[in-house]
Amino acid sequence: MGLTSLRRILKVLAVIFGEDEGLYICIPSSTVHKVFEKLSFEGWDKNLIDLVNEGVLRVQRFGRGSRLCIRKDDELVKIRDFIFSPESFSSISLEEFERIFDDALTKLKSSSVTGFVDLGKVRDFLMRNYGIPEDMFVKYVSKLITSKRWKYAICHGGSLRLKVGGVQIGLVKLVRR
Amino acid sequence: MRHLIASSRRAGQIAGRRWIEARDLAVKYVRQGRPLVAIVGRAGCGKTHIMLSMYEELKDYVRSFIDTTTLENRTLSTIAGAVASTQLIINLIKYAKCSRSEDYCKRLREVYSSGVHNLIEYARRWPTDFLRDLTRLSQSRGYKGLIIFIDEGAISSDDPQIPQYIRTLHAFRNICSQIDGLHVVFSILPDVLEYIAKVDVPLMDIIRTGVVYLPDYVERDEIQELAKIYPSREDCLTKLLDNYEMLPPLTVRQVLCLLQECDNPTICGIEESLEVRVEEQQ
Repeated sequence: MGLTSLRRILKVLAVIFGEDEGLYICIPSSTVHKVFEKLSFEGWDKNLIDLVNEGVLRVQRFGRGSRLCIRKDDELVKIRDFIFSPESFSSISLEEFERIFDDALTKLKSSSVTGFVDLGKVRDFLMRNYGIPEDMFVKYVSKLITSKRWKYAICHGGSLRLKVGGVQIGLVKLVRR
Repeated sequence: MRHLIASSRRAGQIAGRRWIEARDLAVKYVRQGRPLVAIVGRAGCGKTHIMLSMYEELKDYVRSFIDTTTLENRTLSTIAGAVASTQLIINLIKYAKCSRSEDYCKRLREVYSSGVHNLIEYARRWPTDFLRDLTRLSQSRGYKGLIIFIDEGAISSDDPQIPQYIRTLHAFRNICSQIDGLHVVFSILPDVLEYIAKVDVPLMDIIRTGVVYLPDYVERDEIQELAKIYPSREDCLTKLLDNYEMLPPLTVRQVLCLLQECDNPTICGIEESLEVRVEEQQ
């Protein structure tokens, strides 16, 4: 299998199984292994090393295992937006967004150790479940953080960074309803 | 405005029931023998202050308080070297009279006899041996053990020194399991803890056994308590209480700042109007 085909398959896997991490989308290594074993592609592991050397891919330690992170490019972003961004989204109101944003913070809180939720994870969650595209997400979150700032404790970190009043933030916790 | 930075001079002053409870819980964890105790909270919520207060409280232990921002790096060797240069530790070794059977005491005395620099060098080269001997010496002199307080180990999850610091915490996790009576208390930001949970599960499993979360923000009644013991203006206190519901969740540092600078909240990190934009993450 050539490098171009491998790259394309990885992009598809990134869209389906990946987690957004800023400039990269990361897929658990075990998932990549399973898929390529099933598809019986020979020599894919050697080609992966070539992609790592090219800087397209990087291997990251993650929990008890590892994951492969593929650098985002226009093609990857287009595929993702095509699948997860239905045209009808623009009808959502700020109040409706606030409700689903707060619910997402409550749901995702359990998967964090500090109670602070990564804005990148909230974006992915809302994209998957409600089809909210990234630019809309940023626009509404910005409105919420500025107009209802008494509700949210904010903190540095995370995979999606917003600059709020000169301070970079990426972790949010809902503290008051 | 110097009181906005935690210092040992005010370590005895803690306001707010939730902060006192957090301090007491952390002290309890040490006394229960938990090896690593993590004080978690966002910037300005009182982590250093709580650790200084613990330092005062745990006088039955030999203690060393390390501000890692003053160190060249975050390795185990460098931190052990910093422990060796603490006055309390130097005095303990300097005045130790070793009996024949106390090999650990004799080793430390011998190294110290060539000067403090030699002791620091020894600690840097053989950190585990040094910490083991020092803990045993502490215990043999009537102390319950040795506590190393590490402040500001990683200033954010983007700190380039973070992989090194995590390796050091992991090393402490392993060393503490071999040395009874050795404890490490460290302050940590939420994003750094989230990062550890992602990249080092075995370390996180141990941190979880001794983690203390500080409150994310100050409640209205706690503002009044803070105003009683810290410098504050009467008009600022009134203004702060009147506008409490409109303000973002305030950290202790922000409240202390606003109690004096309510006319200029921007310097306390409270923006009058906020501008939000996306930042590219590398």
